[in-house]
Amino acid sequence: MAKRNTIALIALGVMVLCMAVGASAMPALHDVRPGYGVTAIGWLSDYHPPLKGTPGDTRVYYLDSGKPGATVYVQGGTHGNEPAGIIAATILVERAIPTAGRLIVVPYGNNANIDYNDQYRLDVPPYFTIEVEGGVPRTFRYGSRRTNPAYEAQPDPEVYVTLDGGVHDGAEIRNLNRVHPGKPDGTLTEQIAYAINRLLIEEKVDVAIDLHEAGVGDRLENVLVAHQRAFMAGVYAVLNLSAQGLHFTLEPSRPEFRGLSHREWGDHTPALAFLTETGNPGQTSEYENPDIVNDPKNPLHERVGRQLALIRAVLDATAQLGLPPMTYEGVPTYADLVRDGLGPWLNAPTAQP
Amino acid sequence: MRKAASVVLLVALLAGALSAAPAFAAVEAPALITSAGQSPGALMVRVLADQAGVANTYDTLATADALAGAKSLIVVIGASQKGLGAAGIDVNQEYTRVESLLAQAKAQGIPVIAMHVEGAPRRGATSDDLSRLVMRYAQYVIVRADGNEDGFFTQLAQQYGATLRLIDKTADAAAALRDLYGN
Repeated sequence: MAKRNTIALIALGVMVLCMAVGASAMPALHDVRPGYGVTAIGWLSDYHPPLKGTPGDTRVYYLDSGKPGATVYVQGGTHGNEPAGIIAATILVERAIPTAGRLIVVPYGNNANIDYNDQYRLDVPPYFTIEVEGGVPRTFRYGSRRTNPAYEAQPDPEVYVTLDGGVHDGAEIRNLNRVHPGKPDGTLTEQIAYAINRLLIEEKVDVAIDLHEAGVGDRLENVLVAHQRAFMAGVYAVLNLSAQGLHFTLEPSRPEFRGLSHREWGDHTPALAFLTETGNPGQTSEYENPDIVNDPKNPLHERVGRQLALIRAVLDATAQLGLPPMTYEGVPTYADLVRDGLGPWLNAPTAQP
Repeated sequence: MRKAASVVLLVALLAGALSAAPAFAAVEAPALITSAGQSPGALMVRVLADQAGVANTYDTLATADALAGAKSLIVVIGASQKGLGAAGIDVNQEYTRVESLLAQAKAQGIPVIAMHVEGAPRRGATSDDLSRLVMRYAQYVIVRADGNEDGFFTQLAQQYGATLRLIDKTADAAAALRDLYGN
């Protein structure tokens, strides 16, 4: 037990040190332990080289079945304070064994917000831990909605106007989900968005899913937003989830939602674009000292279960509507996660000192 | 003895005939499916109606003309600002369209089925206003139970003498439609 505590303390120490030197130019590295399904690991900068060596670069995991099928892109961590998507994406990297088609996963979509404390919630620590097999804690960062301003060369403008004419508050220039499809010579956040857009095009992605969270009770909680080309698949997905007893509300992506992934990925790439949200206690203003992992009503394992079930349902729906299938094994169902929690479904350290 | 055998045979034949007969259909197809509020619920109901074998036409912005040939009207309630925006209408225009359609259905003696299948997240002032409107005309109501936790639809169904069926899941609406249409 003392050994485990020591490991946890060392991990925490390293993390605090990393946060203290937050302005470092290198991308943050995270505790992601790829499983047998991962056939290649790359960087987002492979699609936009100027990102290399910046905090905006991030790992890209490829899980190729080697068999025909659809190419699917799943992104967590657009917002660093929405952990269910990060953990759902991490479980895909660690557990999914593709059996048809190809899965591309980016657990930390905007890696440049993960070390930023925007003072939004002072009662939520900048990290959280999940105990995996053998009682070993794994530590994950809890970041911010927006890119660390220290990483942007220019201060925020008064008003931010997207490439396609969307108008947002100036600070939203650092919100990845307002700056799609990005600009190759734009701000760091815009360049991240640009690189993602290039990835979707160059990898010929058929289905793209952006994983988010909202406050508990928020109108966006348990919502699936679908681009108009993906809307029928959204209907089938929500009905499929309903049959499993999981209620999701479907909303169309409106044309005026400029800069948002479900809008711009769908407009600027051939992908069928989706965005989903679960209810995060850490984003709920009514909660004091929220526990983002073990909240009794909205525990993290339940939210991750919903997100993984939704991904599965979307892929079933797109296949039902004629797209080539993208299938995988080894990923827990919603019921698995409700029964087991997250621990057994995240890879444990292979060796301990 | 011969008389008793004849009675047994008659009962057996009657029972056989009854079991072979289609279930009682409260309403007839084809149905016109429309929305009241432009949420995706109407599209979900169309998919479920297809699954239930209910012949239908689907028009989220249906006006009175669309009732030609319809033997029932399914109005799926659920206000969505995104949906209204995408349709290019505001809630007042939607209310007027739905009211006019319902009045025409009543004039033509076409039964109305009100459906609210997206649960509690699809409640709210605008949805509730549309529900009050549709329930004035509905003979049958199918509602996802978590959208009725406050008894809103139960009360309206009692007030207007409509038959209410609560379902646990949106997907269960297919079975409810199958029952209603005797499929």
